[in-house]
Amino acid sequence: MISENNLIENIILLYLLKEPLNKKEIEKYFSIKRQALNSILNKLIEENKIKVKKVGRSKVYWTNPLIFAEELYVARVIKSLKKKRLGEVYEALRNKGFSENKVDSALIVMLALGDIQISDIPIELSTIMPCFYSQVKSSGFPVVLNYRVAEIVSKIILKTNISEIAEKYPNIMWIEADREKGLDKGFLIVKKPWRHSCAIICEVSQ
Amino acid sequence: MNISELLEEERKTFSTIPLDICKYIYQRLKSSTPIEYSKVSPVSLSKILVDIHGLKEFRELVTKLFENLKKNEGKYLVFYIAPFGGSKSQTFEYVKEIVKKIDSSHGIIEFSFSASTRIFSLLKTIVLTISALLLSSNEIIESEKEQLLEILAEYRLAERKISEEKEHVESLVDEILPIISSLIDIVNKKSWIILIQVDECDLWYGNYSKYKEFGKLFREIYDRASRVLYIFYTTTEAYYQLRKWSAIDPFLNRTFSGAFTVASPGKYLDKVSYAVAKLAALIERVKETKFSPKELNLVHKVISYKKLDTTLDIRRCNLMIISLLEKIMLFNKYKLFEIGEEKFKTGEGLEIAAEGIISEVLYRIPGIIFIRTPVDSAEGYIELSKGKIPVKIIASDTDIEALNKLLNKYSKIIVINLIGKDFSYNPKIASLNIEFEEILYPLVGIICSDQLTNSEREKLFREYADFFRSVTELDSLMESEVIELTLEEKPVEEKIEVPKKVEEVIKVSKEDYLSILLDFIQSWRSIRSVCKFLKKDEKYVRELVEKYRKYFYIKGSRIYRRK
Repeated sequence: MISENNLIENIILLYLLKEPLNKKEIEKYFSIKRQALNSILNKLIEENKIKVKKVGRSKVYWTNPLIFAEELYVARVIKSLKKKRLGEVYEALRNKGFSENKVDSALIVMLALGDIQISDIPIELSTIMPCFYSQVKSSGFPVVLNYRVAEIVSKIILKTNISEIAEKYPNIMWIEADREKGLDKGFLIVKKPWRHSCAIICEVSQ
Repeated sequence: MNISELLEEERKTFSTIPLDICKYIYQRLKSSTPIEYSKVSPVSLSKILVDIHGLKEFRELVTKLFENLKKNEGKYLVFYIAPFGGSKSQTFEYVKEIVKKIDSSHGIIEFSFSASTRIFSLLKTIVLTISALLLSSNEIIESEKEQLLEILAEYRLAERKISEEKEHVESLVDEILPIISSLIDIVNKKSWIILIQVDECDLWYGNYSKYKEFGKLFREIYDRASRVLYIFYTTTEAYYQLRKWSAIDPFLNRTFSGAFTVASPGKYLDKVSYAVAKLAALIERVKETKFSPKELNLVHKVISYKKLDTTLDIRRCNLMIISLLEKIMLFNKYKLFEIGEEKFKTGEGLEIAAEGIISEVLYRIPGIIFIRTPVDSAEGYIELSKGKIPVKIIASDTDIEALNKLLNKYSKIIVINLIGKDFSYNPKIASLNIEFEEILYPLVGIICSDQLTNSEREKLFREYADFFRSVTELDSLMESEVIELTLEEKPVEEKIEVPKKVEEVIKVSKEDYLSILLDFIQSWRSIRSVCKFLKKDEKYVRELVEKYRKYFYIKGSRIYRRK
């Protein structure tokens, strides 16, 4: 089962892809213990997913965009299509040989970068989507998570309980308790929030 | 649309559906078994029942995969994930219907079964179905026919060997698998599609050895067949279990990473009012009755209060709606709601209801041992595994005063709160709130109706006890840890004096039993329960009843109180 650090890693990576941040700025985004944050950052550096450079008195972290090469390429194709209907985007990319999972993970990257907006997607869902980037990339939607982990990450990122969000969007996500161990070992299931959306709005001109 | 407008719409829909189909749907819903689409066609199920979330997505996916398989070779695994009581079995039935509708020019061999199926009977079905389909096909050539007959002969030998040697399951599978492989080779030549649907995959949960032999079969077919589609219906837990097994199981190992998943929350979401209206219209049609908007609103309120509208369990929600509607139907037969409402209008209702709950309802609730106390200001006590807990009913300010006195005596009290007062401030009080006055109407109706015979009254009290239990949070209160924990900390037996007093009273001479019996037997009690209560044998109790024949009489195995 995916760990909370793994979800946070996804978010950190996507934030750093948007702009380099120093540790204080990262801490501001994630109200987690410094020790936990350090271990996540060190792991990402070890895996060569992010880099660190001393600028003046502080350390600045940025990511190696090459790890997102595929998503960024798909994103470029999406933008070049100049099509705003999601159905058409999927079809066009499928014809180019990209699977649905690849299109979805590219859309998540674009959402995290603020490159696009997808109609009818509430801001809370757009904010939480980057957490699921690696899972969507590997196995697509629906994302199935450990409820406890989702709860912790939601509190860190959205400063609210995941159950409240799940109650608000019952079509998109719901919580299922474990039959023996209850909610503690329960699951959060997240479906593709833009399944019924009709359009994407590209914010950044090419 | 409000609920009565919804009901009006649904009445129109159901009036166009043949009665037989309505009866069939009603029976299936009541027994919680999936509706077979072929039995309700040409009526569309979504027209008469609430749509299953995710079904559209699933249908699109399955149809697309079938289209792919018609054109090209391919092997797919699909997981349909939904919670308990969600929509799995119904969707399972739906896929059977999709298969029937697919162009028959392309052969599809469908195996739809539950994970509870015995592996040997499944193997047998597979062998016999495939060979029967091949033999009856026009496309089969003479050499293939001969080959097929040879395979069947091999199968007969294997079957005989198995029955003679009574081998273990593992060897049964190993024996039959090569035969299935040979059959699939012929199927491949015809470009037929094999569909394997497995419902209730949860039955494998936590038991790999139970799954293992199925896994062997799945792998054999997966490796051999050139066009195959597997659909597994699971809950999220079981899905996770299968995901874990994918590390050790050869079939899951090669299929899991590329599997498609469709998840459905199963719940009614915002559609519970539609569900109430649809089910009411269905019952109206089947039972030739009519529900009023007031009654539907009550059902809707109860469902929302019990949070069934947000549960993932459609089955439970349906059953609850049906059971409430049927209870209302029964109470309506005797006009109990009307009588009760009248009494509440005149202000007498609350008091009658309070007395009724204590003297007629609580002890009739199965699984709850409620003993009325003749003395003390608590109305009685409920026996729990770890002790006894007093019960106090609150219907007026005087009751609140009495409750305050009781609070000094006991560590925990169950309060049946009829007046909507908030007791959450006091951790000693476990409050059972009666949220809607309407649920008390039938009880008052039963007590006040002068048209009922004794047996009818008794039956209605029992039905009401069941109704009371289902519309209140009684069960969750009884199961709540608050009660258990308190009892663990402070054994209530030591604190509560009520039972002790009863014990003391029981030891007194025969003459003093009258008041105890009058309190204990409000309507009737079985002789056995009276014996248990008094801790005396049957002969003694019969003598007592004989002595107080002015007040009681025995009929069958029960002691009745004379009215």
